[in-house]
Amino acid sequence: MKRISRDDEKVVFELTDAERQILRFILQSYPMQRGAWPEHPKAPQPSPMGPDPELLNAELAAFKTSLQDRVATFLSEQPAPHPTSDVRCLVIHWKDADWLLQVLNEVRVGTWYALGCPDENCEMAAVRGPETWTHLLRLEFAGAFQGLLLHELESD
Amino acid sequence: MSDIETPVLPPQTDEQTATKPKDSRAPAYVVIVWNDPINLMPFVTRVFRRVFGWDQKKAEHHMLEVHRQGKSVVAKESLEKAESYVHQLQSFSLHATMEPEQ
Repeated sequence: MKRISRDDEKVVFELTDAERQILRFILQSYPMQRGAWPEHPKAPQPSPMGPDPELLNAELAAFKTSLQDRVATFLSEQPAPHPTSDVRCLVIHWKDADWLLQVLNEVRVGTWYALGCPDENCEMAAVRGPETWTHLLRLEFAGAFQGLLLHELESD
Repeated sequence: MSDIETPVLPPQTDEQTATKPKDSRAPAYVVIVWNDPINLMPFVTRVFRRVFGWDQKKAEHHMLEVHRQGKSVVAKESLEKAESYVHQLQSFSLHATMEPEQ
């Protein structure tokens, strides 16, 4: 995936068909969790006091449902493929960039939870295997797409 | 947070940098963001900029505080406002809690 143009309204990336399918798979995985994330095992015992968990979960669930609808619209509005080429264009309007980052990050975090919250290096090696490859693919590619989009946003 | 290279900034205290309540008579709650090994450092910086309206330097300072010290106090607010910040931070999948100011 590489950027082919950008202007005041949008950035356009070029994707192979495989990249397009992986991105679609990632975005359609959203949300990985309807409510708030549970406290992860690496958390340094933060204070248990927080907002009303039921209210927080209800608000997050409603918010994620609205973002899920935006994902569907976003995917449906992408340009049709070129009839004779494997290359596809991905058009991201700047107004959509932040919620897309939010979606990609949620999928990364959810995948990390699904893998058992491994540390970056030592524990990540332990979860690599044929039964986890879809999680690992989603984790890596969501991070890569997120990194590309963050780079474009920070290049403003 | 996932280790991505970012510029090092001079240290600032929480008192200097956290978002403070507008009404000093309201009971104050602190909002804390906790470290994790999954959220990307530039993403956390961007979330801080969006949620709190901070400039890049201040957002990076708090992001690095989370990364290096395990947590950062990012706001001192009334109960309602602190709850609102926690909700927003959680919607970005950051691990945020709140507690009464000591």
